[in-house]
Amino acid sequence: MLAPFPDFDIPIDIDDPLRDPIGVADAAPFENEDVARLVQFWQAERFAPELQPYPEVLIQDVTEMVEAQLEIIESMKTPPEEDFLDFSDARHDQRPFLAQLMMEEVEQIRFLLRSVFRVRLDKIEKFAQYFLESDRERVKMSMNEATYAERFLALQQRAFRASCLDRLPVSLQRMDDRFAGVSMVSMPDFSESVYFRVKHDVGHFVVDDGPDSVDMRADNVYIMKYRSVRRLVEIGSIEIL
Amino acid sequence: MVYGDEASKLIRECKRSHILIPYNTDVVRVVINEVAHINSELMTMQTQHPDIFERAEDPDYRGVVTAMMMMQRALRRNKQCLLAYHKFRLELVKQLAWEAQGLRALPADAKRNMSQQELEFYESYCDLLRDYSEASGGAQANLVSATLVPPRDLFIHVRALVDLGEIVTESGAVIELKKGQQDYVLRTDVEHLIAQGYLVHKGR
Repeated sequence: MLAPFPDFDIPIDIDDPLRDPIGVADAAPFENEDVARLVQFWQAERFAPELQPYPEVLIQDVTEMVEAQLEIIESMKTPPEEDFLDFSDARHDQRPFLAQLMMEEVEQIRFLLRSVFRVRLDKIEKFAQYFLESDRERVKMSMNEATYAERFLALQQRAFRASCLDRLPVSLQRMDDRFAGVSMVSMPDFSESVYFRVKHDVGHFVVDDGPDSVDMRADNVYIMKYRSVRRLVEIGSIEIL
Repeated sequence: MVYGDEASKLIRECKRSHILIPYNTDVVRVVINEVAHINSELMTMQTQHPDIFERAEDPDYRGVVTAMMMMQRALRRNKQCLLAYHKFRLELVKQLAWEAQGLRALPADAKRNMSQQELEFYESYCDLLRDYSEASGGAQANLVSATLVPPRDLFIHVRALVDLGEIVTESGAVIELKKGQQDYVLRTDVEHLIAQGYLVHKGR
């Protein structure tokens, strides 16, 4: 007969991820919502054309959690001296396996963090000038990111000036011109479409000053232009998928 | 000579290749000269007809106004093409910096194909990446070097393509990687070596 499976449970989330993406409905005792929130933020950042406000507290909490977890994993790798030869303790045998499971989870969270940071850097590089010029956009960056944006913009402009702009007539040297109605400063394309899920009933939502309106109810999923729903994203009524 | 002809060569060059090909010093210079030429022509016309703006509606001046408009357009067009060309190349230079993980280790052929300004940009950009990565600290420390592929396995089989000697891992252990030898190692410990091409990841 097969030995019973060791006495720990691996939580397997079989909930429909669209209905309950952060698992609020049946949160297990030790479940932490931060990771689910990070996943949600990661999705929004990847699919929204503009920068989402930097979630400082969330990032800090997750980073601290990862570090704490790493310490626990490290301590599991070096078992206490006294039970080193005590094979009667079943937990002893499970420890390396548990450590590995925990390590895999930590690696996945670290991947999320890296991906979030890199998606943001990509947007910051593309629209550095736009983000730095407007106070409203500037506060969406962390201190670190704002420094990055400033340094990157300076680097890029120096390269442009040294390779060609400096040798053009003075009237053509500017980097923030408008010509034929098109600004030289790149902006995010707010007319990109996004998928989103409604978090709580919004009621009749008028799309782009009408005449169309949509009765938005909780858990409905739509695809619309980002521009039309930008305000709903900001007040947190919907989440981007 | 047709205005903007040379500039569109630069744009075609960007469309044709998606790797960093030699910096086109000659065409860039020709375009800049063309801009200077058109600009001086435009200045001359303006001094010849100082009252041109008041007389824009005057039928006798229609020819002059049209010519000046054309020149203005050509100037803008050339500037736009120049910037687009340099911007396109900077994107490729940035990509190289990410591939080198901000370590300034540049393949010789890429280095040859860069202009002086691009080389300077490359080096400062590498510094920028490193500074950002360090300032972010903690779990993001390997922000630049790690892959963007979601992790699947903690341990992977790798084969070393060159003798790498001893590598100190995150946990403080030392592993020795010899050319041709296959090892089973922690993915995070060797990820940067795979990206640099010293190790190959063998499938399961």
